[in-house]
Amino acid sequence: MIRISDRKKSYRSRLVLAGVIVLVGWFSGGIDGMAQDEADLSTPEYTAEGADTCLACHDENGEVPVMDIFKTPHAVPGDARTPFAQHQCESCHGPGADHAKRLRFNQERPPIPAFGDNALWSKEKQNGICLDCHQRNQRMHWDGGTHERQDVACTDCHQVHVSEDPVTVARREAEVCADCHRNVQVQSHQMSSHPMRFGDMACSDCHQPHGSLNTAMLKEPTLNDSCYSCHADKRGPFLWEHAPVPDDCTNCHSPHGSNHPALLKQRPPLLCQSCHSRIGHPSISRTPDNLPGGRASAFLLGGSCLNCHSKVHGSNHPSGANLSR
Amino acid sequence: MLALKSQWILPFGVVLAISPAGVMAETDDATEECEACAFDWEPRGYIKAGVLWLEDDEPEFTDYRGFERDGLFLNGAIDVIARNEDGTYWSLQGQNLGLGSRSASIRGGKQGTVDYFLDYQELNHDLYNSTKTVFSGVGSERLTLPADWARGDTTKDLTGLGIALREIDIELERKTLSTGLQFFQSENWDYNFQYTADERDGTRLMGGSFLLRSAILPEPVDDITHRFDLSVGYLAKLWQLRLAYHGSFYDNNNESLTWDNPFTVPGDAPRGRSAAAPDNSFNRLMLSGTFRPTRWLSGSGHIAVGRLEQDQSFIPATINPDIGPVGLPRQDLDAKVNTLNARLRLTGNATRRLTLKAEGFFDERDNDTPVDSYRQVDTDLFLADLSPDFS
Repeated sequence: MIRISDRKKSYRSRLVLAGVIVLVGWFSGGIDGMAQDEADLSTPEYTAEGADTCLACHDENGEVPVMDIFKTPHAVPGDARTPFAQHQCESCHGPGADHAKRLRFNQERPPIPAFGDNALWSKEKQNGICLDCHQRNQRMHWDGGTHERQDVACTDCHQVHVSEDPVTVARREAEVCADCHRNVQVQSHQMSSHPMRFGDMACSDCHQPHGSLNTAMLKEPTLNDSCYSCHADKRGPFLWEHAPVPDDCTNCHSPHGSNHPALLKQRPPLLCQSCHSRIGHPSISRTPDNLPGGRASAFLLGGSCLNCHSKVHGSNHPSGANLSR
Repeated sequence: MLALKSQWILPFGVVLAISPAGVMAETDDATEECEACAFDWEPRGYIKAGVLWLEDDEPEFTDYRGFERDGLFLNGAIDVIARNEDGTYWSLQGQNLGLGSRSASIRGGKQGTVDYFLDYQELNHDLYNSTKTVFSGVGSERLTLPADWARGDTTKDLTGLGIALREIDIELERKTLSTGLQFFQSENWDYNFQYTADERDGTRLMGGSFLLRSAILPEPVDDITHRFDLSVGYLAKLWQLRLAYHGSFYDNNNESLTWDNPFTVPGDAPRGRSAAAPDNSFNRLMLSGTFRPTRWLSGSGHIAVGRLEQDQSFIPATINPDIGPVGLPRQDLDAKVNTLNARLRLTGNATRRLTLKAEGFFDERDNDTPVDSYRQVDTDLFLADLSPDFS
């Protein structure tokens, strides 16, 4: 009941409510879009016998091999969380009564709702099936992450109906990532690289493919923290710091691989000259100094600038201000 | 007012009711006996053994492949797993067991209750195998020249070079042992513990200079990094939180490298000494979480507070006996760096085709290390002028 004395307040509250309805109406366009997934299955029904119904057709001789799922953690009825402790195949694939029913003459078999050819449900909804169980920890930042925004589905990387999902095995993971990230695979074959080529290191040692808030989907909050996990000798803090080092390792290094030593983006002296001028200290190799006459330029031999300035990541020596001790 | 309210509650309620969680939750009486299901409760897997022959151990081929020499190798692999009906499982895996790139892993536990693992891995980074050096004591902190070494101005003036050269390999071996435990309590809580020990052993190249003369030295590497990760997570229907501690402790068994000076240089330093990477530690506490009140709106974020510390005792400013003692302002750096990282992301699926995303980030590295003046001795040769002031 609206009292006469409340007229002013009720006008304002109606405006606010109108604004909320406009916003929610806009967002509910998204809901309508998702509700469309259900439009074709107005009364979703499960099969009467669960997996026995599915396996009548999808057996060892079927077109698509599915039986290896029984060797995986998904098929352990003793664990109440698993699909096979609930609706078995239909826990993930959705209610299958329509797909499994007896067909009339000339009727095409309706597809299974999820994870099959011509699946009815959208990619987001199919991802939601996996995420309903697998939402902790690693998948915490899936929403809004790069893979989610690029429409990558769980099944683009993961296989469930195999005894060993390749992407979960460290030595085989890079093969799956390389399907899309070809450039990284090429870099891992270059002269200097992390040991990814033979599977000694996996992409997920540094990256979080399920979504991360950090740069380049890294697991650690900063890029340098990722590197310091294994290269803690570069962490310092040192008495004499070299400014680009604590800032960002990729100022100088290319972590996936490089045709220069030590995964560098360029070789010294060119790398050093991208910041340091030759004022006070000759550093350009292609000058008349030390060339014809028999003496090669020291800047082209060995470690170039690092022949003397060897503590390039920082020095804890009291006299190491120029990083040569 | 009542009519207006029902208009937006209705789509809200419809979506919650038909969400997949709803689909799965509404039918929890469906554990049926399955006759055609081919459950496999027996241990299965393979054990492999074989022989390898390597003609030539060129680093371009052997790098990271685990061949420390050429010749005959016995090799093996194992991959055995067993799952039981009640959810308990164990597995044993091993690869390249006869090579320097061997790895092995033991896992086990009970699905949904507890999981544990123990992993071991070796890595061989072969850089050069045709390197030669005149120094003895390769692999130690003291490199010495032969007793009859004749110093010279440049490399072509070193008359004793050819006789003194000996072959050494430049390679780095890494051994990593990690173990961990994860267990779940009720539907909400999970606890994680992980420990990794990462040990490195070998040599790498380092320039050791005296003003305008430098020798490339085999620097010894002998260090270990201990990493601890502990976390506790809570999962609710619409949100989850995780509190995690990360500790990394670097311990270098080498303090410095001392080498005899092969050159004649102004000032004539008999030897030089450089500092090895100091022991250091990093501790970080991170709180991360995600909030998903509706299907079309979600937010996630984290905040991490960290601290880097290093208080390795200084070695002297010079090892040259002809330069008098050089005072140091302090015995160790007592370095402290505080870090603060925060990230926040909000994602809203406005329509099927339009997503609105807002992200914010904050990164701070606050170096709180004491600042002092340090008198420089340039490459163990001479005391630098008081100006410019290095501090």
